[in-house]
Amino acid sequence: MDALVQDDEHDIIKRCQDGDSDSYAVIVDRYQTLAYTVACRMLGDAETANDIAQESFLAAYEGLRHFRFGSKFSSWLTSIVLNKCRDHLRSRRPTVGIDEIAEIRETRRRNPEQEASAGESADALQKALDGLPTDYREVLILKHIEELDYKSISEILGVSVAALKVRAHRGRELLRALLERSGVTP
Amino acid sequence: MKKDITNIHRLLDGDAAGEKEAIIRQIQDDPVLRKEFDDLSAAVELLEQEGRMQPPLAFTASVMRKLPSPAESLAGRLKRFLFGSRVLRWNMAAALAIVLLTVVTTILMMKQLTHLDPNSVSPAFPSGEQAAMVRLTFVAPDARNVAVAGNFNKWRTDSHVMTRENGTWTITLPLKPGVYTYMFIVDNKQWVTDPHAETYRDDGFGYQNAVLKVAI
Repeated sequence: MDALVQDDEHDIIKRCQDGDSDSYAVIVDRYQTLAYTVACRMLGDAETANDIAQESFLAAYEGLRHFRFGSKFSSWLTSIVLNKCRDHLRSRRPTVGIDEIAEIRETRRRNPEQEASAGESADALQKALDGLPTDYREVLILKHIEELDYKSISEILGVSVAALKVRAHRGRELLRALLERSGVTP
Repeated sequence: MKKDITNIHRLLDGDAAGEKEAIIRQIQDDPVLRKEFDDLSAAVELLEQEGRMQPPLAFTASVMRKLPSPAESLAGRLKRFLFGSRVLRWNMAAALAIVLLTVVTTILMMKQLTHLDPNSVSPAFPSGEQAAMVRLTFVAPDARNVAVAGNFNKWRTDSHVMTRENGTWTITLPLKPGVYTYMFIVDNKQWVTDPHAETYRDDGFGYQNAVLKVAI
């Protein structure tokens, strides 16, 4: 984000903090794709993602009076979305266990074409993401979909850059295995 | 081999700036590494190309509708209370109670009105007490002037002068509920009892005062 947009955003947020709720529409409009994408890719369900993304904007608005511009609004919002996604996932179902991951690694070479017709690549991508442990999925979404640098991701997740790189490494390996299994990638 | 695969991830992370050429050469020279690189790159490209999702068209509007209302001022709340539209909930019991109250109130008002002179209305005194407008009439075609005096004006003969209308003298008096006695004074000298009074009372001087009962 360039400096001009940052200054503009600072003014908009100040206006919101002063009670001008209409100005918040600019913020929502600007970051709706970010919030919705993160929620959608984390949860794999468009309807729930829509609810979670909207709840995140409402939570951010409620907490806006405490926002002190120490970080970017987008980073703060992303951390809210991810927290809500984690809460939802905890209440929904467990992620793929370590044993299942090992099994995927073993079997991927044995049946490369079995699921070649699994559907659109986007669907296959979501299924593969759904199969990743939550902390791997978070890093890959922020790094390769939102194209954030590791420093920004570190601020959002509160995890060191070195640890994030390890997660990204393992996440990519596992994602590749899951995509191969679905027949989307060779 | 493990170190070589780590280098692939460094490339994908954009962390191999100084060694990029050497790592790429190494990957190209090794079929296994090349396969690893191609597969991982394909997965990353899929994320980058297909990862973004478009929110529903009404997303912003939906969020804005759910925002809490800003704190309303006292004047704003009063204005909304007085002029804001509202839905009234009712049931048959409440409706019947309102109808009954209206009927009883109407009957009571009609009953009170029957006690008044047909020409009377009911304004209020400054104190807020209701008054009846009582119209007195006196036929005296030959009189030059006629006034009315009574206990309502401390028997003053010059404060309530009547108006002539074709030989009939009239005056309308605002009177609180009560019992009043009065007489007409013709041409400033002759005291005459109202011949149309409902009742009379001796005045102690050999005359009879007319008696007027006012009720609301």
